[in-house]
Amino acid sequence: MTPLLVVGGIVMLVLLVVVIMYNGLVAKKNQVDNAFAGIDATLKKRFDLVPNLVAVVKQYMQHEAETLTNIAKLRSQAQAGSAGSDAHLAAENQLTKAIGSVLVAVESYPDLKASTNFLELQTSLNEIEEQLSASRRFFNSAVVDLNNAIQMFPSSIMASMMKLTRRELFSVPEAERQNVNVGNLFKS
Amino acid sequence: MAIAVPSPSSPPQSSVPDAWRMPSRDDFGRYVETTMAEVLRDLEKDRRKMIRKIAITTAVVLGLAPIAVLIGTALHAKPAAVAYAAGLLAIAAIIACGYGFTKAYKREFKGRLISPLVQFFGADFVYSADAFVDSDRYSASRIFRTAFTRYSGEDYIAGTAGRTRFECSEICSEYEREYVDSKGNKQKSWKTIFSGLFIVADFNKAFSGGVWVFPDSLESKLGWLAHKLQEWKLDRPGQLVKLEDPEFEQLFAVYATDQMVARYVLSPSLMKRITEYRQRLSHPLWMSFSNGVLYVALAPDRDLFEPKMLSVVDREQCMSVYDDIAIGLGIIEDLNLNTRIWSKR
Repeated sequence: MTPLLVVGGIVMLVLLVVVIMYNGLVAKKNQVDNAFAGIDATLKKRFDLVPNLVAVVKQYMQHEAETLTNIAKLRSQAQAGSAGSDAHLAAENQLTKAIGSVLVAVESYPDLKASTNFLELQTSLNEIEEQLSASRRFFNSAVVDLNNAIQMFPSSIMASMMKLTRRELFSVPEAERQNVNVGNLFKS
Repeated sequence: MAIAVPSPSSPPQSSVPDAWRMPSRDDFGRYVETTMAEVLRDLEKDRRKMIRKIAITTAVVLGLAPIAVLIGTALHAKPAAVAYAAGLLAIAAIIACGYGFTKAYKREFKGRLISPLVQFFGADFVYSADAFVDSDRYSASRIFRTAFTRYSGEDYIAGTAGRTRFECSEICSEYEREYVDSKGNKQKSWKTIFSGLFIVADFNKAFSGGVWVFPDSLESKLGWLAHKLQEWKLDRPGQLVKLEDPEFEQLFAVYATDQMVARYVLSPSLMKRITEYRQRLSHPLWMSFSNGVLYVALAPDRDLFEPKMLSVVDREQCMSVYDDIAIGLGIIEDLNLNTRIWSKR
């Protein structure tokens, strides 16, 4: 009777470990998806602000017509790509850069800089960039958790049975990694 | 994530850059030398008068005690009991008079010296020796989860530094504990939950939910295992948040109602600033960011804003008041709370 109890106990213990491991992996995978949805929601907020930015800025910045056209084009590209696709993320990254360049160029237009509408927009954009940064950091933290679970023993066995694969971290585009050369930014 | 983004069509708001700066120690010293000389002289006179009163009272009581013993012995058969009672009465009288004299001096010191010194930091800053941060504020921070049954405080300062409204004071929260002593009798005693400086300030980002930053004593000893233990801490609000800054993580355990709100509030630069702020302190630090308000609890190892009874009232005592005020107000500059580039103005 006793050996049976011991074997039964061990089987129960193994089952418990398997269930905990399985549920843990599912929770981590869902956390990554949830974090990605957070990034997407914030990108959508920024996306909605772009037409306002272009509308407010274009009456002042006649010389930046090309940049503004480019922003409108990137917005359309971002809209066209499916959420999370490489094309979508690439367009969003370029949009980030283009919006940044407009905000820098504003320095040469004192009237625009003092405009209430523009100040409001700038505040909203700052807010969204801050939220975007928070969403990306949460996403990366969730991905690190998932990747650790996928690569560490013994959860790696369960992960391969569940066909879970490593996820890529949200990285900063190469151009944004370089130090900012303020002098170049003001050359126009 | 419940974070407010203003609509671009919302009414225009002030963009005046109110750059409040913490006055330097040197500026403060010069202010004391040029404007407080008379007050310092008066207070020094009061202090000497107080010490003289205590000395005279002590001498009179000690002089009267033997006479009381002689009279008592003549009237009573047990000289030892009379001497004992007279001794006790003498000690009680000295303590009561000493307490009364020092209390009056403290009130004078705080009213005449600390109020104008506080106003040097900001014209609209107010100081009240007897007031303290409301207990509702303390409860709203949800830093200390134990319910208090007694709440008191002193040395309240409030004002607006640049764009940041703040208030701070020393507070003490306690609860009554019942226990059974070795003889089986029920006893009651007061246990302190928190005693120290409590600061409430307007945070520069709008958000709903809460983020709590607690001192972390486990991380440096147990490493990754500390995270596992912290996940199970049931007395902490919200869920554990693991942040990227290893130096910050060594010092603090962070909990939040929402992972994204935690990262929105604790930006990499703010984490760096909190780390530097903590490294300058020699005592524990708790923080709570709740619905756009920052709460900070500090437990310095001394009672703040108190006069030194046995030291001359001079520039040095004022400089120690500067250090006490700086503990509370320094956080506004150290954490860059006046930076208002986001939706909150």
